[in-house]
Amino acid sequence: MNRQALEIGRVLRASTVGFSVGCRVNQLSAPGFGSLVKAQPAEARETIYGLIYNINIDDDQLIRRLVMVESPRQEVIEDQRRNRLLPIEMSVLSIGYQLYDQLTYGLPPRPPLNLDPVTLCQDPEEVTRFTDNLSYLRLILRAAGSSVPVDQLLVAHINDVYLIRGKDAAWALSAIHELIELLRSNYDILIPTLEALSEAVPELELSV
Amino acid sequence: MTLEFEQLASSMDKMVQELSRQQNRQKAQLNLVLEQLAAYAASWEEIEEKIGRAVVLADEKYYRSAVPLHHSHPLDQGIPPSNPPIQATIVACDGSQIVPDRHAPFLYYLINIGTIAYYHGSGDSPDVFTAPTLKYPGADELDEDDLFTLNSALVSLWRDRFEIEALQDTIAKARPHTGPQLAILDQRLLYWPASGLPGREGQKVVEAWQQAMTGIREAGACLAGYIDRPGKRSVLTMLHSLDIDQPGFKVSELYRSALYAGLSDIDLYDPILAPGERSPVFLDISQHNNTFRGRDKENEVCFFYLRTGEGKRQLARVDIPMWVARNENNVKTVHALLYDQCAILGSYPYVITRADEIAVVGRRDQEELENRIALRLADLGMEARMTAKQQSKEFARGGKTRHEGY
Repeated sequence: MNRQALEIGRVLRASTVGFSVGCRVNQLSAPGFGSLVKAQPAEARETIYGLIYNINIDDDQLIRRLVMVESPRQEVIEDQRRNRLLPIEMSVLSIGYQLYDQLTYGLPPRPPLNLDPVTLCQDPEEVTRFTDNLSYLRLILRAAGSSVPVDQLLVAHINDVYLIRGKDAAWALSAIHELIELLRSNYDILIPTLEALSEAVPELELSV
Repeated sequence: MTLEFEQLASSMDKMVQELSRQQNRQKAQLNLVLEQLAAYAASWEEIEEKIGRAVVLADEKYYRSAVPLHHSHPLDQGIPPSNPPIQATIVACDGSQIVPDRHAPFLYYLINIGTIAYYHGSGDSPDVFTAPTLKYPGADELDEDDLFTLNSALVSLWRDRFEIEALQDTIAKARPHTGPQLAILDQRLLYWPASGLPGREGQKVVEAWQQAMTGIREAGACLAGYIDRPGKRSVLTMLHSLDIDQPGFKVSELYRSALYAGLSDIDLYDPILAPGERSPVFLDISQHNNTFRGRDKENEVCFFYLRTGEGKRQLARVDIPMWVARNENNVKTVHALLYDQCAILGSYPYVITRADEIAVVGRRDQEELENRIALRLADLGMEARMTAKQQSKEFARGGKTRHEGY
């Protein structure tokens, strides 16, 4: 099934290890924590794949005044969401890139540029192609100890891909085996991740 | 350069002592005018007769007073708000400007008008509009209305005109909705340019202002000017004028600010009005209002005071034209909707806050505008430079950085 790419926002700022995406309220319904996204430049530069690991919704003085009101009017709530230009900001961890048809599971040579469009990867073919090679899991684990909630990110991502791949239990189990291999000396991340996965995807029948 | 507070210590002491003396004078004066208000609270005919005589005696240029418009409510009692209509359309607008600066890289000015159409009771998102205007030397020189100016006071004048014209336009293009329409300006309705401005331009703007007021009336909307923390003293002058038959009364004393001991009308109504209550409606008596009436009697300006919040002196003045003021239902609608808007944020109308936010052109917007102009000039092989004076200011006021070490 070919799903049309869903633009979820544009790059605000970027570095080699990740980038931030700004979006409007009405773009927030589709992407979520753990979603696979890509910064897709129009010209011939790398397409950079990443996982959403944080979604930030800022306030300002006006919002702070309005939350103190007992029952904010619906007109005011709609005004805040549709008319005021406070972007929602999503933080993305880079996990690979593609140039022409070549996928590489490493940090990109160049980050995306400001205002490059960012799309949500929903097409099962594209997601399957990217996730067939589990090398990118090393890049997620590399972020352990930073502000990235690695254990929860792994759970959300594996669950998300499992569903997009049509409840592909074989893939999910191979991802889990890869994680066990990579985290065999880091039980602090491994055990909570496996416990959370067994709850999130009970049909895998993991016993921790 | 850091302010040297030691050099100001003696002045600050004297200032505080004088403020204390002024406060005591004000308390005494306030008690007197409150007594006067209570004494004449329902004496409508006597007030009209005495003010009528004061107007004849006074110099029209300086005498600014008031008379109650309706004879239905005591002057020393507040009038509570009614429930607002179930649905209404409230349109507010505001403007901001970048004034011409000889030291900037380019000579230009910008006026930005922001408008919001708020659909009260609908649950729908408001509509917002912006209208920026960029003017520079050479633009439309054949049209004398569009001549470039370096006079920042003139730019402010035109901004005011664009505001009320945008209000009129937005009333016309707001989504059709049931219920009344209310257009709100974030300033006085009795518009008059500050002294010192070119007379002809000022007159043109006043004429355009009144035309827009008429246009809003013809569109079937109510109109109000909202003034936060007003300094008007017309009701105080009215009260002092009621001593016209007292021995030693001199109408010229009414022009002297010392008479009022720093008080204004909101000090009079501060102890009287509860949150949400308004004063009775007054007709403004002044030379400018005579001019307004002369052009279109429906545009003659009236006003009332409204307590918007619970804090001390949290009162606003609401200017309304005669066509609104004369109709008690219109006044109730304006009162109810304005107070309802104030309740959203606590004490200031939400629509005016938003209109201001939509209109404002911040320092970063200005820098972005000048960068884009500079890029376009660069495309044509030209360079833009600020003056050495401005450059040196930027150096001196620039931020500091610190060596971070290892």
